[in-house]
Amino acid sequence: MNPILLDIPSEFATSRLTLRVPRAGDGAIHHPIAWKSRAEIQRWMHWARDDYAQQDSEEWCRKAAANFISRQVLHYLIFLKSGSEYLGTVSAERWNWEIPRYEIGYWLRTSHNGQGFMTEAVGGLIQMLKPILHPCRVEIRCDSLNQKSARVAERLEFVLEGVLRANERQKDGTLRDTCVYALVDRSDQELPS
Amino acid sequence: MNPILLDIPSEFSTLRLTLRISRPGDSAIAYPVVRESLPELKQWMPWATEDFTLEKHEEWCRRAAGEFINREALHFRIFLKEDSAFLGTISADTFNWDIPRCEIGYWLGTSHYGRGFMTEAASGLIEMLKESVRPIRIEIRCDSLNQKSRRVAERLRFDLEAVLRAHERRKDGTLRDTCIYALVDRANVQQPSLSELKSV
Repeated sequence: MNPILLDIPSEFATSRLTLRVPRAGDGAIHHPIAWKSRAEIQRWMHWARDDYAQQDSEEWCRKAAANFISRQVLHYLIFLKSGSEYLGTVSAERWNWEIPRYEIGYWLRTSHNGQGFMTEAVGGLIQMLKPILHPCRVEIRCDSLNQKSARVAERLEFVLEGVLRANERQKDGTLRDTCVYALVDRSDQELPS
Repeated sequence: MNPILLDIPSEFSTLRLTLRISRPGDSAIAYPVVRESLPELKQWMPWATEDFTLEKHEEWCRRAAGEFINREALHFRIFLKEDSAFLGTISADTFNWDIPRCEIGYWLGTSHYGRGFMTEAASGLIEMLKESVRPIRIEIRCDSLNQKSRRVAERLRFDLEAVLRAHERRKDGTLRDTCIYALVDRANVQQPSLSELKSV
């Protein structure tokens, strides 16, 4: 089946969080939080540079809305149930529908680190997608120095399959190693030969 | 620099082999070897199927010629010096020019197995790339069950960095694991980080 025909919820919840797909107008919510967290984001990712503007956020939100519909990337904005503060983003991307497999990416606003929010959001995303897509393999890739990101993978019992040396280059020119974590479930997916 | 401006030789040789880029018309030389090697190739290469036609192969040859010029992928045909027999194909692809890094992929005609030709071709390609592209990281990825391909990587002293479980699915429906081998050379291109500069 073409993945565009799959029914995937555009909103779901976990015990403390509500997650929903970005839409036009969300740049106003996304930008101030990303901007405040830019020092942390810039250490590991290639966006939220010093010239990052609200218009960039708005463009990203609209593209994300389209990508969700075409099933290229499933991005979700994360909100706290109590108070509705915006916490960050979690995304299921790099789909290979033949396996199926995908990769999870995320960032959390700096002021809300250390409370298990991202572990809860990623765990919720995995649970939500599981009965719909039956993925055999879910990956989390992160810079080997990004301890916070690695801990999310480890808490969710992902297995570190390897460290790819000199796999990325940061803006400051340094070469970085990439950890590949994966959660594998072959149970109902091994088709008969 | 835009990689399209890099000078990359379109032909080079090793002790026993000559390698040159793929070009229009090559299917006449290569297709018969693909055909006779199909039982082996089918096991590992998604493109190698019973309905792989001469025309499809010629399409690939022409695309490959274009990709070389665009620096999207560098595809080379491998010939034996001694009698000009066509042996197989080797490619550097999946470039990330920021690092720079690339991947090497290859297939060898079944009748030429066991004489170290692919190890020699891959070694020659790596030497050529070192001078032209200066890659910091070169990967070889293969099915974990593909022992012949793995041995090429191991003979060239690539390190097995990871085995990605359930990473590919074969046409028969089975899930396969992917080995990631890499050769890393940070020597000549690594730029010092700020902290390293401060400590000097």
